Amino acid sequence: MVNRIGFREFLKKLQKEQEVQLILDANVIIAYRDKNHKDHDTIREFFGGLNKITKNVSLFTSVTTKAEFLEYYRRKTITEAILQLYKINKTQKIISDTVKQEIENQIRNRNLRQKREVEKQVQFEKVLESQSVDTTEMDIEGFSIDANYFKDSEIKSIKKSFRARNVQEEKGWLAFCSVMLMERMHSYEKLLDELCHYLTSRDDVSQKYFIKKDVEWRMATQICGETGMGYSDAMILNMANHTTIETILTLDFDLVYGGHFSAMTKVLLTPTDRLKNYKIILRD
Amino acid sequence: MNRRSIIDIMEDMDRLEEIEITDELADTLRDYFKEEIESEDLENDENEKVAKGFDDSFINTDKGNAENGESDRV
Repeated sequence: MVNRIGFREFLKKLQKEQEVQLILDANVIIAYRDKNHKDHDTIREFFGGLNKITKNVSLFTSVTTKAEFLEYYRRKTITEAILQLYKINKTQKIISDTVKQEIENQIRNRNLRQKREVEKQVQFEKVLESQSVDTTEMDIEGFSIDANYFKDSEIKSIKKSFRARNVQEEKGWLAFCSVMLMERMHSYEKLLDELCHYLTSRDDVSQKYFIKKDVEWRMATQICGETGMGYSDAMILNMANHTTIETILTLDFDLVYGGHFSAMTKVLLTPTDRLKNYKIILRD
Repeated sequence: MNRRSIIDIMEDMDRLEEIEITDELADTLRDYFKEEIESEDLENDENEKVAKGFDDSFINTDKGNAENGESDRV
């Protein structure tokens, strides 16, 4: 039985003001937020289309997804703020040369990572084209926008360099975080809480969606083991299996593949253009 | 369950993504790094003087007369 559907088909089947309940994974929220994500336009179009048909939409996710998303937002915000600081420092000296050089080191690391991502994508396309596959039709999931932002270890290196000579208190980095990160993180979290409800069997609001009172957490391990999917994705599928919510909105191949075997009563909703790829792999 | 539309919430999120280093933060950091920046500027000035000093040592070099096949005296 096919338990996946494309965006276009899903929207076509919807009735005006029909109630829609969707479980989201972190990639969907990230793609919606990040204009550099290759699915940014696709996701925005989908939600724009959905909004035109019905306002009766409820979004759900897990607390793990929330953590994943806020971690991505932390890295993105710090990266953009550091790059801006570096740019301003060129015309008005604000930071020491030690900090400037450390930022340059990490920019080089990041740029190398981006270059490798692009090369990986180009190589993959060449391999497919050599096999006479028309890559203009295919949706290649190679490029990770994660490469655009400083890794945690790179942020740590910059943070360490902020310690100015003979200064006892770490006011520099603390001031930077206070202005550029703190309030934004709080506001962002608040908006995320408004956007999605976090499914938990302990919550009064969530209770009405649960089939059983208690979630069997060990089933997430079972799901992870069945197809080798990431554990946080396994937790999403496991959560979905314990609820009456039918549809999981995802951009992740692992979730569509895993859902075919481990969440057969659920519908995996994914971009229409991806379905062709999945049909090759999941013949049914 | 969601009273505001997804589109409206996302628009609020868009506003949060405008990153700007404030003048206040720039002043705080400049003040924080003041001693180190001054020390670095001093070091750079010294290095520049030393570099100029080496150049000066060649100013009095005797130039040989090329027409007579004489090379420069170092």
